[in-house]
Amino acid sequence: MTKKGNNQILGLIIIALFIFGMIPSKAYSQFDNSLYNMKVVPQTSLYNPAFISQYKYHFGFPMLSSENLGFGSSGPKYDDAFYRRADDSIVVDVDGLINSMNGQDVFHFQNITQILNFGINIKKFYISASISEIVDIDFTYSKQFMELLAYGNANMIGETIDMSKMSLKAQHYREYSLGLAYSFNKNLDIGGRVKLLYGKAAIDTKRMDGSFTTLENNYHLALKSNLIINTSLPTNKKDTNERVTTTDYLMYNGNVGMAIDLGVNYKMDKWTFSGSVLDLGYINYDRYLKNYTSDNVDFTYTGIDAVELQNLSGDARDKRIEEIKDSIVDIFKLTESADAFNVRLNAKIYLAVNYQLSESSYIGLLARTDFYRNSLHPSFTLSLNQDLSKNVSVVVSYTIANNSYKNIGFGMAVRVSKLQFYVVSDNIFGTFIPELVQYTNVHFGVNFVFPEKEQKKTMMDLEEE
Amino acid sequence: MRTALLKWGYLKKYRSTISILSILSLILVASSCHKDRLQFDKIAGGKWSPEFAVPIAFGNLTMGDIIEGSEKTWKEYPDGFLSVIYGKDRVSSIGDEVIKIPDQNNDTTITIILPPGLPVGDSIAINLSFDAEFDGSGSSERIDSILFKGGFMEYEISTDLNHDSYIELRIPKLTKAGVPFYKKITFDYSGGSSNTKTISIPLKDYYLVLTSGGSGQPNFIHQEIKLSATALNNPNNSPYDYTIKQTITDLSYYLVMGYFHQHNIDIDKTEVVIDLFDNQMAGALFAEDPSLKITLRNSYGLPADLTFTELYAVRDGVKLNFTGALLPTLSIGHPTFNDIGQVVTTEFLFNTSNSNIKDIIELNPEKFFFEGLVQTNPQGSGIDNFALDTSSIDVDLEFELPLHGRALNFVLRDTTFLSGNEEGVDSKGVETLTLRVKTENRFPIDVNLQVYMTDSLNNIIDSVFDAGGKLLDAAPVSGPPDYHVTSSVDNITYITLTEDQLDSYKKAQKLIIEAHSSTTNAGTDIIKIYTDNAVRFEISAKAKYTNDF
Repeated sequence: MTKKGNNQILGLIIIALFIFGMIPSKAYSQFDNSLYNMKVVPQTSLYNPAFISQYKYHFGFPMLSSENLGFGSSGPKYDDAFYRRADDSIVVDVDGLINSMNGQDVFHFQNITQILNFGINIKKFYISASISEIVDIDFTYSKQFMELLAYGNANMIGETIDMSKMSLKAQHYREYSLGLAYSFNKNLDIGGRVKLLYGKAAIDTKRMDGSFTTLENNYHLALKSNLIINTSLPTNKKDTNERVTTTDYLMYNGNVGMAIDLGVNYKMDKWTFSGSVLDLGYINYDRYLKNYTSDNVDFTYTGIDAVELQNLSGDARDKRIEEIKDSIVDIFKLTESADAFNVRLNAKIYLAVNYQLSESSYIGLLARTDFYRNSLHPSFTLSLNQDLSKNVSVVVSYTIANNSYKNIGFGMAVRVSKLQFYVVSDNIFGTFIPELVQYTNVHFGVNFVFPEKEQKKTMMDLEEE
Repeated sequence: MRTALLKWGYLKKYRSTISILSILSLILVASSCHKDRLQFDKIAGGKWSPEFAVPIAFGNLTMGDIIEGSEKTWKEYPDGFLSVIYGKDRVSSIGDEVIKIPDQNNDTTITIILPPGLPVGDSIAINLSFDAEFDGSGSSERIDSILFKGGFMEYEISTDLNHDSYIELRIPKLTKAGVPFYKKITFDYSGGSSNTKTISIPLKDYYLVLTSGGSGQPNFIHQEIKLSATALNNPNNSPYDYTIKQTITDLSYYLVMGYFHQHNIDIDKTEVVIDLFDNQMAGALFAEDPSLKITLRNSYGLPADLTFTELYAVRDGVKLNFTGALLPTLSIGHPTFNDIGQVVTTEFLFNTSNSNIKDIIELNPEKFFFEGLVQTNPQGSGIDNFALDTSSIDVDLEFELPLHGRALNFVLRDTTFLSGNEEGVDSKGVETLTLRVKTENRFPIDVNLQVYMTDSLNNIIDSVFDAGGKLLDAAPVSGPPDYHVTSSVDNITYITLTEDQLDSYKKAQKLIIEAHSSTTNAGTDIIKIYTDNAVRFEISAKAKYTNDF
């Protein structure tokens, strides 16, 4: 392929990636994009099951093979939410919080701890397996609602606060995964992974239709709500005298779910195109259940009928006041039930293109989109990967995510004999100054890797020797 | 240079080790940075200063609601027009406390002579009668008949007869259930110079009709006696005497008839509290048709007059006598003999045309006093009377103040004590509070309000309004005679309490609430108040609140 042809393909791909990524206007996403292209680390197959490890086999250091911790906020940063007083104490900055919010924001937190990890190349197959503990929290909120909480409703008279865009999805689950990749030829690899999931706890706002309006002229409070909030929490256990032990919590075999990941990787000359779809599945929660429901509540609080109370005497008046209180509480009271429910995982799509600059370096462009509550949350990462030697690789990246354009990433993978260490962050500044960033993560781990044969020495290796 | 190259070569040799150390350092430094920079342990809370707007209360307050439960004070006419009523009832002494029947005493002696040689065992009998006087309580009083409720008639009879005998007593007009009184008393001689017997007869439910003693003379009880003696083997010492002592004591009656002459019955001093003006501080109320109705109820069967010895209104120590036609003496009607047990009512109405009641109302009285004397048979004679034990004369005074007129800057002031204020509404953290009071007024009255916060000595600490807040705008009215409200008038008042005012409220011991009211058109229009006059109101509040958390 000519240089001109390469440039045309690259241009088309970049345009396609941006079109794909920019469907929604918001740039919110999760993290860990920089690791995608760090091929020396076996955990890249977590993001594309078509990726085939270059090692004959590998297994992770138990509990340390992959620790992925990160958060993202499309709204306030830590520094927006708090300020330091003269006495060195830190206080909540309500104005700062509100001023840093957009119309609608998302907060995401994720922690994935890989307990065990294993992978092996058998001819054209690559088989991998892992066990991971995953905590995943997504909270979507509107600035208007937060203003209501922070400043009250007096400055929002006549406005309707729509709560339908708010949501909370939080899950803790264990994932048992088994992956299989197949190399059709030197250009094409495909892969898939099946994941058996065991939920531990969940909160999911299945339906959040509602609004709150303070009417002009009389300050009547109009509330509409149509909610379903599903929870599966140890605190929901009915017999409160019997506490849920850690073993009960972690080793429960119910709350079963399934998910699959699919991926493809295609090499064309110096170009590599890859794509994957992850977390297509859900968990069915069936223990420690509580569902909170309100069905089309439409209520306007107009105050107390003072004349009615005036005409009552003594006990009758007290009784009526109690009735009014109870009726208001009943209106806001959510109906409780204990029905099993499903929580979908947040599906993700990765599309990437890499260009081999030299034998030891390549650049990559990655567009990742998360599907959350029927909306798309994209992020983009441009990366440069460089093998400094056969044992040391680094990546430098730039990521746009969570309305944040100041994310410089860095990663490094080092192999000493059979031991591989790696650490990657999409926002290296966030690692050191987390209070100033909206988005950061760190992903590190230790693997035992076993090369199949003496790899071809790079020019750098020869130079070292 | 060589040294540098050597160093580079040395570094290359340990590149992996250095890199690992770099990774570990990176992780450690990052971890350390998170801990050091975020310093969650130093988070000391924050300040929350929301401002909330909420509806507090609403209602449609009609005049009917206001007067509900106090019907004694209010009078509603068929068209809904209202009057305020202040009245008091004073009852005279009852019948048997006024018309009393004194104890009666009569002594009579009967002489009997036994024929000489009357054989032992033979008897003789004589029949005779006598009249015992029955006096009234005064020389001019006359008792004609009595239905006894209580009392005793006692006979003490003594004789010196030394033979056996008996006496039969009959009073034909002393009957019980139609049966005349009869009693037989036996004297069996057992020795001695005198033989005495005593009997006592309860008079309850006996009906006594007295025999007329003639003009100017007391009436009397006609009694008949039969005396029978049987000879014993004793000497005949004739003549013999029978001494009869008759007493009638402790008399009370259900009904007494006769003529009771003149008795004075006191109507004790009585006050009528008029609280309408209790809290009035200034201004004027011009009532159109006030009236005073004096109602006299008499169940005595005799004519009587009531003379008011006191009849006046008082305001702040200023006394104003009530004057009117016929006063101070009013004639009291009475039931006739055909209406025994009935009450005859006599009413006297005093209004602006026959009394000074307008002056009395314009005094804005706190109280009205009356005291009087009832005189029975004021003409002295000429008519038969009766009295029941329950007879009385009631004097009922009733002021009626129709809500018809006009008021000009009528100022009402009331004081509320705030003892335990600190345990009342918790205003801690509230910086400002603004109440929004929206009214839709169908009363022909406007109201301006002021609330003063004072210490225990009534020293004003603070006030709610700078110059009063208008709560109600008077509604317009139609012309006479109905003066109905023709349309409602809307008004919105904001009552803002600053942090300083809220502090003052916490310190205050009392709240003095002052309402200035005038009728439509600044008190120039005459109005009427009906039960359907109403004010629709909505009270809502904005409160700015600060809380350190």
